[in-house]
Amino acid sequence: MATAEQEPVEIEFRPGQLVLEIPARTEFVSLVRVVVAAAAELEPDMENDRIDDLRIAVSEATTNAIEAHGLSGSFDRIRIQCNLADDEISVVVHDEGVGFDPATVPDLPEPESPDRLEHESGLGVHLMQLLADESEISSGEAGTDVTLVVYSSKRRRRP
Amino acid sequence: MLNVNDPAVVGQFGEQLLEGRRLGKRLSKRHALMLRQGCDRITWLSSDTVTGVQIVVQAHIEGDWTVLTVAGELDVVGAPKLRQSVMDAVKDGRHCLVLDLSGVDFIDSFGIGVIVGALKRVRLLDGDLRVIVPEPRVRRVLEVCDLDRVFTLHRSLADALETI
Repeated sequence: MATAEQEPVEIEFRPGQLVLEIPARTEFVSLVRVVVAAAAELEPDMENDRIDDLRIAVSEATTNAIEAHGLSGSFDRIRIQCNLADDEISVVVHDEGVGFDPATVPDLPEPESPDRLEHESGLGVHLMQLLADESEISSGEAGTDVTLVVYSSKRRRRP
Repeated sequence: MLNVNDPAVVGQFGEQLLEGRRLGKRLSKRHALMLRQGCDRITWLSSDTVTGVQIVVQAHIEGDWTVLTVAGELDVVGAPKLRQSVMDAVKDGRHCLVLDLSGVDFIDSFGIGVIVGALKRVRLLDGDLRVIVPEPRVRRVLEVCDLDRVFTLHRSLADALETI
């Protein structure tokens, strides 16, 4: 089994940008949350609730990326790129695992519906879309990019 | 005010992050070790062993109810441990469960999936499930998913058992 030394975590800092690379293993998801939240806290206008939203959305996207690798048996790594701007943060989670078609995610039934309890899994994409102000999933031969944008304040959210 | 477009500031943040000053309070030893193992620029951690446990679930009995007290993060790593505890309780014939999430500081869809699954399992067995969520951050996630319309979110154990 590969050791952590052979699968380093890499963090690169550039002006207005942080790039984190992790092995495609679930135990690294909490580390991604901590680092991305710390980067978001650099933004003086970023509200705490928005950092919480970002933390969850990034957690979902990163976990999905890792699971895509598990399915393909790939040893490629997950790259999380965090772009810091004055009034928003965008995060791109890139993986090279099996592709993902967002159109195949079923709609959730209304909460009161008895069928709602059938949905133990598959909530991740919905939660990600609910919490991020903008989200985009693009999947192709080069892998999958999930882009999440969180505004510094919910009030800025466009209709 | 920090200007994140200033390379000097970004460099300083990078140093702080890597040295654990900025993250010192929240970066557990487990995280620190991951960073240290993965990045040779990390030098601040001594020979600390990994003591960070992501999740702890403890069970105790309150009359007809089995209370599962959860502490930690209910994510892809932590949630399966809660699922196992729920399944163990149900297997022992305990179909009235209280999930006390007071010690949970993070929940995502995996944690939510386990709560929904637990509710489904005990209802099939004519049991019941109460959920204690005093932490506003965790409560908010459940509300965003409209789960407060599926079951009541209690603020304390007394509150959860009082309504019985």
